[in-house]
Amino acid sequence: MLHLRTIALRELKLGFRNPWAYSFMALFALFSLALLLIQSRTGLSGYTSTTGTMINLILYLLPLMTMLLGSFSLTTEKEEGGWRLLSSFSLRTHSYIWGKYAGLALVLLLIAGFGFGLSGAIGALFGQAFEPSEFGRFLLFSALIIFLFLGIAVLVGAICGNRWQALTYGVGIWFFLILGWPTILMAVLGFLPYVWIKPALVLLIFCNPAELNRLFLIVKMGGGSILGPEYYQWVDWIQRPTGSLVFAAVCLLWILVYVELATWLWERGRRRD
Amino acid sequence: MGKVRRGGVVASTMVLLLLAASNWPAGGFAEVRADGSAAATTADSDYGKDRVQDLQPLIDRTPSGGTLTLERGRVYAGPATIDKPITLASAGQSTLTNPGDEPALVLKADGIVIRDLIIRDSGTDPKKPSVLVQSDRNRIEGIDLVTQGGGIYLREANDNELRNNRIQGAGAGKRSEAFSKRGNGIDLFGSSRNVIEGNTIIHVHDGIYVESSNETRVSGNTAIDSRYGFHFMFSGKPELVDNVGEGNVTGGMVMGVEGAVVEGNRFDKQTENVNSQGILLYDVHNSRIDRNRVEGNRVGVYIENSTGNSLADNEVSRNFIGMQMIGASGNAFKDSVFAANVIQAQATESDDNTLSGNYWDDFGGLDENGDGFSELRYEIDPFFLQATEDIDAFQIFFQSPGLPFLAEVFRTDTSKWLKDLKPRIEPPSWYEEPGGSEGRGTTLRLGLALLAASAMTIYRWGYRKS
Repeated sequence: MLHLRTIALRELKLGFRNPWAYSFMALFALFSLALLLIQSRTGLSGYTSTTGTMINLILYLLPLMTMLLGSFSLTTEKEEGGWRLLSSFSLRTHSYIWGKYAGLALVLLLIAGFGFGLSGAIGALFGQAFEPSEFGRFLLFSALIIFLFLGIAVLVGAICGNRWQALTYGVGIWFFLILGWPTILMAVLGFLPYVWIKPALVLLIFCNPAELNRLFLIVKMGGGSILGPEYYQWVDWIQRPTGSLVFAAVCLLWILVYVELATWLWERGRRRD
Repeated sequence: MGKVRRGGVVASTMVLLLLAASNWPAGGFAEVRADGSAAATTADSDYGKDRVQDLQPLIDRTPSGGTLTLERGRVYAGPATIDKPITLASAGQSTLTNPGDEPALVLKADGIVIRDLIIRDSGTDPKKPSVLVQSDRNRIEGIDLVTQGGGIYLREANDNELRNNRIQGAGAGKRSEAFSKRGNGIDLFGSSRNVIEGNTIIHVHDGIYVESSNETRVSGNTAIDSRYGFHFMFSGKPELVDNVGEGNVTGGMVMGVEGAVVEGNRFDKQTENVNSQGILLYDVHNSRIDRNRVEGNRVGVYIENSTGNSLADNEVSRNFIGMQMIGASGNAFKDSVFAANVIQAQATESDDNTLSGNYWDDFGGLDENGDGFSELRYEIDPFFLQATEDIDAFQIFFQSPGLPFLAEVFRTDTSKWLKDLKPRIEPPSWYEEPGGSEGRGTTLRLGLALLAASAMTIYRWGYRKS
C-alpha cells in the first residue's frame, strides 16, 4: 500500500512535468469555455442542445487525452528505463500498476477539474452557467470516462513497447469507440436477424465505456424517452437507485478487469527480463 | 384561406358570447330562491347536518326555473337526474357523494345551471362519467370533482358552457397508475358549439377529449399528469386557445380534423413517455397553429400525414427533437423560434413544406443585404430519422458523438431535405431569451472552488520540486 502511494505521488509529479498535460488542460478548458459562451442561455439545464453538445465535447476530448497520457506514461517507463530501475527494488508489479493507475487518474481528474472550474466560473460570470445539478453531473460523467478509459490506457501501455505504438493503438481504439461506433455497429448489426439486433446492441454497449456512460447520463438527465420504445424497461430500470448501483458495479468491474489484465501482462514481461 | 377566415368569424362570435356571459350578475341566481326549495336551504339549525341527504327528492321539489341552493358544509347523495331547467347551487362547501357507477348527476333538460358544488364520486368505471350532460344550453361552473371514473361527459349536448371546474383523478399522486384505469376529465361526443373554459384537470386519461363534435372552443384550461392533455378527434373547426399542458404523455393531440385553431397554448415537459409530444398533429388539414410555446418535451411539434397547415410565431425550445414531420406536405412554417433543441427538426417523406423566417439558434447565417434574413439556407438532415426508421433499436445512437461522422459519409442528395429558405439572423421581437439559469451563484462558487483546488494540487504535488 505504501508502495502504491509512493508510485501514485511520483506519477502525479511526473504527470505535471509533462508538457502534454498542460496542453491538454488548455485545450479542454478553452473548448468547454468556448462552447459555453457560444450557446444560447435557453439550454443550460436538462437535456438540450447545449448540454448535448457538452456531452459530445467531453466524449471527443477526454477519452483521447486519457488514452494518450495513460499509455504514454507506461511505455515511457519501458523506453527510458524508469521501470528497470524501479524493478531492482522490492516492488510488486501489482502495486506499481495500480499506483500508476491512481496517479494518472488524479492527473486527469485535475486536468478536467481545472477545465471545468475555469469554464464554469467564467461562464457564470458572463451569465452562462450550467445549473449546479447539471454541472455536478458533467463532473461525475467526466470522472467516470477518465476512470474507464484509463483502464484501457493502462492495458495498452502494458501491451505496447514504445510511445509510437501506444499512439497508434490509442487513436485506433478512440476512433473505434467514439467516432466509428455507430457506423460500424449499424453496418454489422444490419446483417443480424431483427430480433437479435437489440440484445447484441445492448451487450456491445457494455463493452464501450463511452456509450455506456453517455446513455447513463442522458437517462439521469431525464432524456431516456428519446431512446425509443425498445429501451423502455432499461430506462425505467436505470432511473431507479438500483440502476445507479449496478452501473457503479459495472464500472468497478471494468476497471478491475483491465488493470488486472495489464498487471498480469506486465508481470509476464518482468519474468522474461 | 376562406376556411381560416370563417374560423375567425366563429371565434369572434364566441368571444362576444363569452363577454356577454361574463356580464351576468354572479349573485343573480342565488337571489331567485324558489320557495319549494326552502326545506333544503333555510334549515339553519344543526338538526340532521351530519346526515347524508338524498339529492333527488330536493330536485323533484324544485319548480322549473327555480334555484336549489344546497346547504353549506352539508353532504348530499347522488345519483340524481335533473329534467327541468333549474339552478343547482351551493352556499359553499356542499358535497355531493355518489356511491355507485351511475353518474352523480344527469342533466336531461335544457338550460340547467350547476354552480360551486363539490363532488366526490366513488365510481371506478373509467367509461362512466360523474356528470352526464344530455341536453343543451347548460352551464356548469366551479365544480370540484374527484373520481376514479370519468369527469363531465357531454353526449349529443350542444351550446353548453363548462367553466372554472376542477377535475382530479382519484389516483393523483400515483404517477404510474395505468391510463386505462382513469376516465377522461371532460369528454364530448356528438356535441356541438360547446365552450370549455378555465378548467383545471389533473391525473386523468385525457384531460379534455372531443370526438365528432364541431366548433368546440377550449380555452384557458390546464391539464396535468394525464395521457393527452387535450385531444380532438374527427371534429370540425375546434379551437384550442391559451391552454396549458404539463407532464402529460402528449400535450395537445389533434387528429382527423380540418380547420382547427391551435393558438397561444403552452405545452411543457412532456418527456416521460417514449411517445411524448408537445403538440401532435395527425391527419390535420388547413389548420392554424400559432403563437404556441412547446418547451422541454420529447418532441415539440410532431406532424404526420397532415397538409395545408400554417404554423407561425411558435416557440419551440429545449425539446429533445424540436419538430418532427413524417409524410406531411404543403405545410408552412414561419417566424418561429427553434432554440436549444437537441435536434432542431427532422423530416422524412415530407415534400413541399415551406419554411421561412424562422430563427434557428444553432445557425450562423449570412445577411449580405441587411434585411435581417440570411441568404444562406438552413438545411435539415433527415439522416437519423431514416437510419432509425426500419430498426427501432438504433434509436440508442441518438446524438452519439460518432453520428455526425456517419451522416457526413452518407450525405448525398440534399434536394429533398427540409430547408428554411429565409432563416432569421436575430430572433423575432416577441421572443424573450430566458435570463441566466437559477443556480448561477452556486455554479460560480463551485467552479471557483474547483479551479482553486485543482490549481493548488497541481502546484503543490505536481509542479513544486520538493
